[in-house]
Amino acid sequence: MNNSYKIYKSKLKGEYRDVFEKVDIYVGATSIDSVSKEELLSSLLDTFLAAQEEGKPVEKITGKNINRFCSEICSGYGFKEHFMAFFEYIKPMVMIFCIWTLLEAIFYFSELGTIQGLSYFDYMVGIDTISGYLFGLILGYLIDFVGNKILKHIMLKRKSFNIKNAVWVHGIALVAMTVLIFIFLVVLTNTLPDSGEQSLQIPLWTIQLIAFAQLVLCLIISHKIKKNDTDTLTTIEDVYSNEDIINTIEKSTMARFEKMNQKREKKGKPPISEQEFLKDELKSCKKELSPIPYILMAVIIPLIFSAVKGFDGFEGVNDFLMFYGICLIVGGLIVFMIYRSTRKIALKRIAWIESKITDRKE
Amino acid sequence: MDDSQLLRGVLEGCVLGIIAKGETYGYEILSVLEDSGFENLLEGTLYPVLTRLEKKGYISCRRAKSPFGPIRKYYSITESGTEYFDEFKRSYEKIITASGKILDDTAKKEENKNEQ
Repeated sequence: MNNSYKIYKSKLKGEYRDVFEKVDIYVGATSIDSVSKEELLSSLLDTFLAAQEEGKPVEKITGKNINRFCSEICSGYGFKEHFMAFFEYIKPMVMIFCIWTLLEAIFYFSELGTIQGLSYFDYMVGIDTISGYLFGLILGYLIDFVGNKILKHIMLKRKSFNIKNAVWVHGIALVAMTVLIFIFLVVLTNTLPDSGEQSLQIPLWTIQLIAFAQLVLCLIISHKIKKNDTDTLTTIEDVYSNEDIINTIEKSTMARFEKMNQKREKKGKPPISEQEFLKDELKSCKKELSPIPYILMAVIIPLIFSAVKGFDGFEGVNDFLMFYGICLIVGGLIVFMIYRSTRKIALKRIAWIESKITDRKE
Repeated sequence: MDDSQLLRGVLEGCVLGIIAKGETYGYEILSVLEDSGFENLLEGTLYPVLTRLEKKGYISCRRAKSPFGPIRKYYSITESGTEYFDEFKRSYEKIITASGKILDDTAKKEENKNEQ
């Protein structure tokens, strides 16, 4: 999320700023999805700025009871927004879950060589493996999400309740639920009747199907968030006007410039000018935008894994291709996420450097 | 007397009526309502109305940067919104006519009593 409204919050003054902070915390604590929150707060901020410009008191917009105002503005959001919020909430867990089930498939292929006639659909995963725990954690998240929603609903209704505490309550509830689920699973694995080699087992294909169904839902929601980001894309000028981001980029870049000149001085070399340094920085930032090194990483690392496993360990070419394919998907996802965040940072730096070089040309 | 119940009944129609005149946004709608005599109407009351109208498909919105910077939602009425608004106006006129008769009769009787 670009969180575009946060860039303009600093334009609010006095009572408008204080009230908006309270509303921001309240809306942040509610269980509605981030797209709806962003839209609501952006729209509200625009209204506050318009009213501030006209010199109206903030009470004209919100009334005297801020909690009631917040409750009313959030009352328009129903099941759909809460449903989306839940899948946003569990998305990191679902990603880890999917990656782990893919790795379990790799373990299956590694056992193919040792257990003859082992069909993919017969391959079972014990509840006491990581898959089982992750599956249980996702169930725990569901319970936590619902329980947290009820808890916040009760607490936010109370006039004297400090809204910031809702965040702490959520954190404590999350930790407590995670510990309870863990204890539950440990007790379950130790108390269930022993059916041969392992206790409760789930077919791997079932877990993978559930994981990928959740992943599809998460991706649909991510697509909606991404579409909203495109619709509300904060331009580089908006980013540039955000003092915090500019200060961070400026500080880190100038610190590197000073360090470089100090090293050159120690080696007896003449210092380079700021202009030359910025041009070099621009070149290296633009190189960071290239996806080629990341593609190579995604392709080569699975080959290394295959070599470590030993090519003799594969039943045939198909076996090797399946193993390589799974490693490629898992590795590719991880590399893609790293590339995306590196690219974002590089774009922001490029915008700043180009503006500085332009200034100097003038 | 608490006007909120009466307000709830007509607010959706009034908001739709404002949007029907041309593309507009939240604060402008609030200002028009205030200028028309809806005193003490808060933004908190308006937001759920706009969200409901959007969900029902009576209004559509486009997002654009406002002159102040944040993203602003501009609302326009849809075809189904226009049909709903026409229906609302018909129902509203019926209610006003019918209730007007009763309230006028009551007012006249009160006047006669006072004269006596």
